[in-house]
Amino acid sequence: MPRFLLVHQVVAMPSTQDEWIRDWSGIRQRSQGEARWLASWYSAETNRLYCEWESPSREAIAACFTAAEREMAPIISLEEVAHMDPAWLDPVP
Amino acid sequence: MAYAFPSAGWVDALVAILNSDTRYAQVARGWEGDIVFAVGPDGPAAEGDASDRIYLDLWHGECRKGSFHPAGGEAAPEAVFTLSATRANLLRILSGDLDPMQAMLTRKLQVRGNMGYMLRNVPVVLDFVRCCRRVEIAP
Repeated sequence: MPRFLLVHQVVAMPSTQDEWIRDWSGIRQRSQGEARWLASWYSAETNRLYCEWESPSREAIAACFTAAEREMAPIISLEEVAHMDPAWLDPVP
Repeated sequence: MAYAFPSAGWVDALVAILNSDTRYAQVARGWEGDIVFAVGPDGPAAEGDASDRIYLDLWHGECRKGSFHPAGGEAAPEAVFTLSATRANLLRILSGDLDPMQAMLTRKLQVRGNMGYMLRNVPVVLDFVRCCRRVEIAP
């Protein structure tokens, strides 16, 4: 399954813990089908959210976000990526 | 030296660390906001508010004041943020067994206050937790 790296520019933050959990839970529920949300990293330096997804297509990922969520954190790039693990370089016991 | 958690000794030790840790001073140089930690009892909820409270006045990389307020004693000052959890979950965070972001996202650590400010300052939050972990806790 292809993997993708999404970069969101966060323009609006949830104001309460409940709002944060509700928003993220919604995306989590919508990403249990073809497209799967695997992990996220947030950079406070740039206010960007970097998210790893597994999906058969870019469209399936885009469909996981509501219009309001796309306004809060617009996707500024969506790139197919290849996973590489530095541990592959370690000697096999 | 190891301190009971929560206790006045633990709070004093944390204040000393926060005010001498150069990395925290740098990372938290923009932070403005006092915090109350409500340390709830483990097990079923007791009647009334049975939480011990820790008050920390955090301001631009310094801790201007810290105080411990046992349940039933003198009330802690009102703060911009109140973070509530059971003692067991706070100890899991302090031991590194529970990630603080995971604790917030799963409500094991409940946040009252501006969540957006907290999220925009995630490096401050994580470095604050690093400083808390430097205080040795008595078994």
